[in-house]
Amino acid sequence: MGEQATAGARVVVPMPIRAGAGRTMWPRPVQPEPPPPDRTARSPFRILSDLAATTVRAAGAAAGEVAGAVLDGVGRVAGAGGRFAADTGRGVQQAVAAAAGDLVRGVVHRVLAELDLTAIVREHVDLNSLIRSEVDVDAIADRVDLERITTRVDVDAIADRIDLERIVARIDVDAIADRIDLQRIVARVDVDAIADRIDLQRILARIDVDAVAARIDLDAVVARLDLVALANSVIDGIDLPALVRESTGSLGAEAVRGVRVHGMRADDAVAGAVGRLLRRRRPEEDGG
Amino acid sequence: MTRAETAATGTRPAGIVTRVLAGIADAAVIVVIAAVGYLVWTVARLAAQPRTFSWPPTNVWLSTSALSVFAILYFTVFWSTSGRTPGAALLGTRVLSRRRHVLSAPAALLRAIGCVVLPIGLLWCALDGRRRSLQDLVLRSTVVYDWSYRDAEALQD
Repeated sequence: MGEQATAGARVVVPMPIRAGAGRTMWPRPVQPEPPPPDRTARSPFRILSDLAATTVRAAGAAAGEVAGAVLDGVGRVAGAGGRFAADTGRGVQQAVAAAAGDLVRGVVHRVLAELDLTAIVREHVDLNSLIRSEVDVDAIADRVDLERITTRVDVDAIADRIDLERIVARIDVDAIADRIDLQRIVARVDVDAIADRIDLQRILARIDVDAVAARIDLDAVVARLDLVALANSVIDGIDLPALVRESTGSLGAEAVRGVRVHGMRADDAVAGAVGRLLRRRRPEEDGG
Repeated sequence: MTRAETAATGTRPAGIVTRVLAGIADAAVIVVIAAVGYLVWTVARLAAQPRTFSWPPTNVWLSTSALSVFAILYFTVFWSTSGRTPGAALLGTRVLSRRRHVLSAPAALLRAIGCVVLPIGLLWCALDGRRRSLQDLVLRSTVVYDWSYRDAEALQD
């Protein structure tokens, strides 16, 4: 595809493309691109490229026109048909354009080999301003398929490469703890609901009470107790006189009951002895 | 409840041992009350005539007579009201008439006189088939077991 500079705009001229096996394809005409933004600072690469392209295009066009004119004149002189001459001229024009294209590519490769484009861009292009003014980051972000990217990420491999110990060593746990409002957290906890979910019987079944008891230092516990004060408080809490009354009353009732029962048995024994002495067949105990 | 306790809630006549024990308890109560009364009377005399105070003369017949009269009153009052003296309450017995009623005052008085004058008549209940003493035979009374475990507790309250 060739370009021709016209009054302030570039017009794209469709050029034939060799598709091999002697076939020639003609691309569709392309609408001219809008003029590039006016930039006051043009890079040397751009200048050289434009200069080379313009020169080659002009040379190609001129050679084509000269060749066409010569062939046209030869055709006329030779008396050949106009159509043959036009076809021949078009073929020559295509060959010359292809050669011009090869020449342009060679020149560009040569220029690129000589120049450090990265250094030139870094030195002369304001990339930040360019990105801010020309790049629509939101549109790029909209086109990014995060799901697809996520599926391609090997999270396990990333996790394996993370040195958690090092990260944890850098964390100031005390500072984090100071920032935690425990009262607020506790106020939001439903302790009753948690207690309802606890299976105390199961927990108690797992406790080795003997082992727990074996670990208790009873001597130390007793040494810390104020037994005198404890005994006084217990005595104060007990209605000792009432307790004594109940116990003595119970003892007295038992004693009276014992005396009565033993008296009755003695009565029966005496009656039995007297009955045997008087040769009664059986003691008459029915009162009259 | 044992067999004896079950029988005690009935109307079985009390035997010689129980009745003697009840009599001893009543005698002790009578002696104690008489002694206290004697001391009170003596102290009252001391308070009234401290200068001319002297211990009351010890007259055996008078003292015995006074004690006997007090005992007769003691038995009469208890037998004609509840049928049981403190000693009888302790041993769980009760004096009743032949019809299982509390004795009338005259009957109680006569029985009290008989018991105080002739206490040996009580021993006849050991020989009698129905456990009746001489006083019971004369006055048609009887002494029965009348107690329960609940009574024994109430007696101590």
